[in-house]
Amino acid sequence: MSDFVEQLALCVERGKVNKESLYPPDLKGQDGADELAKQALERGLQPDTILKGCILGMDRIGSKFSQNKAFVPELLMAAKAMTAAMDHLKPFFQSGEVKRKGTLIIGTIAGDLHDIGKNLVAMVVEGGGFEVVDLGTDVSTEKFLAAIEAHPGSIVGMSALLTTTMVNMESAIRAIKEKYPDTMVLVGGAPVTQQFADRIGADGYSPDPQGAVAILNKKVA
Amino acid sequence: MIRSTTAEIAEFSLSFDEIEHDPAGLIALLGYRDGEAPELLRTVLEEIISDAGDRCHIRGGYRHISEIEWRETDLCLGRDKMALATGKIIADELQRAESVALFACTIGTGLETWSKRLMNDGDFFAGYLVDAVASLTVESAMQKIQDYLEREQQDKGLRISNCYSPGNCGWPVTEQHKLFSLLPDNFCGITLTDSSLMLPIKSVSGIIGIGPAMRKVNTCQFCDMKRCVYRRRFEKSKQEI
Ligand code: B1M
Repeated sequence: MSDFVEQLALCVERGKVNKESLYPPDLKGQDGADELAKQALERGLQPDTILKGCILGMDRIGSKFSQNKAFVPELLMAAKAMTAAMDHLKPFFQSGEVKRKGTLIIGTIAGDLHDIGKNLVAMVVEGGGFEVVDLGTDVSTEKFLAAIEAHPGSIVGMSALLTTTMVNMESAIRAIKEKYPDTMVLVGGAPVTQQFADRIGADGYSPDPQGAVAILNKKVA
Repeated sequence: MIRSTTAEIAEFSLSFDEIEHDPAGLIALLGYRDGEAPELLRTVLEEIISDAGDRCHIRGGYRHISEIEWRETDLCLGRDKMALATGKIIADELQRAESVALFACTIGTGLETWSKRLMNDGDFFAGYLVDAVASLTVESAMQKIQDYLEREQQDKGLRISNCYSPGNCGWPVTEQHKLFSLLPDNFCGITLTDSSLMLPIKSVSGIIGIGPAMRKVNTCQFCDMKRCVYRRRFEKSKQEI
């Protein structure tokens, strides 16, 4: 089993989606995340071993990204491979046979339309074993509140790319804390800093997606 | 490059092909050092560049203002003396300008829409690369228009400064509203949201100082985003000097 987890983790980390994919060139012609996950289920392995392989692979590429040893394109290829494997888990998530660690509701804050950074965080967090509810961009406080209502116990993530929009996080956090005092709120985005996060009452800040996963893992541990 | 000018306003319309698209430069901006990037990246980028032209509607231009006056770090412009709170860094660089040009440039929404569509279809890799091509295209287009202004001023024996943008070097993004109030309505098709965001997203704005004492500096030295890829380019150029 651990062999399988390692193999799948390698495919995810290197962004090897399936047998046909030409990327990465040194794994050309070999099975990818898609085939490995399918074979695992056919061989009767526990479905959560697939999740383990994905988490390990995404953790490795996420750490490389944090250390500037890998860049956004590689992170995206890894996420694509992860999704190919995770697709096989959909029925098990639905039946509850495989459980995720928790749920992150994520959105770009009201007034802001940037979504690449937010999307990256969403993918890496999903690869970290969490369910992600992506509310998109220009997300109002009401939308965040409605999502918390619909997904009790979830954690909230907010992203912004400009100083003029990141200020809207403050009122959103205030409203969330008023109605759901136990809800953890995580913030990030190019102009956001730890100092700013502390000042507006956020529970966590990370400059990169992997750091966000680390904070979430600590929260659900 | 189609140009229309009045005494103060110059507006340009550029085609995608008039801009130099350098996959190697783009790959470096994505973070990679020479030869380190996956080959797939170059292939996809080349495909995107060859398909992007029809989706790009590049418009840009500037207003040249000679009535300028400094009140400490505020730059007062025009007859109404609209005060731009540019902050100390920009004031230090532009203090000796004899006139200024206010800039804006956009590539429209075509590439943005394309990128979003790819992402919605699950192809984040290509979607991200289209977004990166779009960002670099608007920056290169703005540069092209600046080059035009520079040549025009050089003919008069004058120099130009860097282009400084609201949101950079201590000039608040909220000042976008003042900058755009000094440009014709709907200049180049750009509008501002309440949160000072320009629409289309792939747009840039700024100010350039003009005068014999103007110089160009690398603005990365004023920014504290240590992880930025632009900074890596700046550090590299410092090492090469
Ligand atoms: C929930 O928890 C979390 C945790 C982590 C989280 C998170 C949530 N959300 C994000 N993260 C983190 O994880 C992601 C992956 O690592 C990261 O997400 P990001 O979204 O940060 O990163 C993306 C994956 C890639 N990053 C990007 O795409 C942005 C890169 C930089 C260089 C940048 C670019 C490319 C552009 N820009 Co502009 N731009 C800059 C950026 C400086 C920088 N180095 O970041 C920034 C954001 N821009 C800035 C500015 C000022 C502007 N830009 C403008 C324009 C542009 C371009 C068009 C040229 C281009 C495209 C913009 C776009 N997004 O489409 C203008 C605004 C445009 C508009 N429509 O209004 C303009 C206002 C300048 C002007 N006046 O023309 C600055 C904002 C500063 C501020 N005061 O707000 C800026 C930080 C540059 C700087 N150093 O000054 C992390 O932040």
